[in-house]
Amino acid sequence: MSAILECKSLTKMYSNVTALKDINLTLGRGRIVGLLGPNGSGKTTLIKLINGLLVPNSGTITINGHQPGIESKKIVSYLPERTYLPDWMRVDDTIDFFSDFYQDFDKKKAYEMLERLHLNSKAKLKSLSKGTKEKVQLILVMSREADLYCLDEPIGGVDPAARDYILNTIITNYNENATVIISTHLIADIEKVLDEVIFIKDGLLNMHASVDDIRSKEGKSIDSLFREVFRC
Amino acid sequence: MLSKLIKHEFRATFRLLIPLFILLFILSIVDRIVLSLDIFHGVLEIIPILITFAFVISIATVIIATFILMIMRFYKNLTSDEGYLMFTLPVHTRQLIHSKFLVFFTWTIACILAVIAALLIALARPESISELWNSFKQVLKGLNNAMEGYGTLFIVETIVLILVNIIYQILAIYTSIAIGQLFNGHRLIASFGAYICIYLAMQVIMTIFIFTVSLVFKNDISNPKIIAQLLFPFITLFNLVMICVYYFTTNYIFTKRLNLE
Repeated sequence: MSAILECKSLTKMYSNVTALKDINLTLGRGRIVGLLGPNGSGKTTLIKLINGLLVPNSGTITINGHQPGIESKKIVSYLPERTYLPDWMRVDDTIDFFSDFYQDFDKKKAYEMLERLHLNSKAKLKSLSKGTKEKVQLILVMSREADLYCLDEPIGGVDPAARDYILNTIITNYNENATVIISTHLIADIEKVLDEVIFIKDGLLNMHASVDDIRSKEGKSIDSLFREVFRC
Repeated sequence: MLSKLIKHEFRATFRLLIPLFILLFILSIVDRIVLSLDIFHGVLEIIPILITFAFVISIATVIIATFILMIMRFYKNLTSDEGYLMFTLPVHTRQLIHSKFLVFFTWTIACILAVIAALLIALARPESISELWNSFKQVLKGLNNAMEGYGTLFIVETIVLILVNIIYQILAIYTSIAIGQLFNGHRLIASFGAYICIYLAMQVIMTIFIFTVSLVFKNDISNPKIIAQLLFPFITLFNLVMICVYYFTTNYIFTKRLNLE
């Protein structure tokens, strides 16, 4: 089956600063991929490029063979690191909104997850804490039957108990043909769910390998390898 | 998808504007009742004056608030964190602009109609309509005399120009916001700055044009019919050209130069 994500010589610059330089990357289907790197290494830039929020300066990026656009947006489910839902909406308004625009959105699944996390669907987003809003966003994003999930710092703002539930949600809620990209620097927490890792350092692709390979070849965990590669 | 965007845009703006319109109508009814009561004598005569004053203020508020709320809606929904939601929907960027524009324009027209309705509620008498019609005919007659038969054309041109200018203003503001979001800080101030620059540039161009016209048509310039024959059609055309420029600029910036925080 064809690759879900393909980057060729992908370069993105902000005025004079190079955020991503000459990235060549191919991701297959059915993988959970950790996009790892220190702050400012280019993780969010890559995710924004995948989602068409930025346009590359050179090189190409394709999702399931499509350049970022309507066709790619239909199959990519994106969780930004921001709370992006309008404050005045109620939780069930946001569910209606998603099911209006995304054909692959499963309302039933969304309500089930809300219930599981004891969230009130009639609550206004304004009245929710930041962590709760993040949970609502994650529920919306994971209630889609997407081909590619891009989760930018999905566990940063929530408590450890919810963290476990969320990771569990991520690994149990995607189909076998879908790929999940998780960008984070909380590696220890997600290490056990990852199939592959991508290390990004100063806008350069430092490493792309399967977790099993790293464990067997290097004989260490991703967390300790990360600390070694990105030693300050 | 455009219809869904429009639906959600109405939903998001309805809750902001309807309370304003309701307030306007309540005040117009109160004003009418107070004005019809003949019980305010002496010091109390100030009461109908105050109520009418509040009514006039509310009219101005509704017009200004409609405009500002719609601008803020565009700014917040597309260039703040909400932009992450809107720009990753499976829709074209131009459809986002279309939906926002159509709803803004509809609310502007609704606002104008609401103000007219409120004025009628507050002040109209049974004979008001025929009085208005008569004075309209008077004005038309006067215009036709002054403009050598171009009065009707002038009125039609004026209405067209007002509508075109509303579109022009909305898109000029959209362009300013699109330019403002290119900056990494103080985006709201940058948007204001962009608007002022656009405004000044357009003023310069119009001044040069009017100056040129007055040179070319030196002999006819004293004749008011030139307004209907030349001036208004040109300004309308100029507005239409600028509407296209603003539209394509806004669409280009949001497609290729989106810069969400």
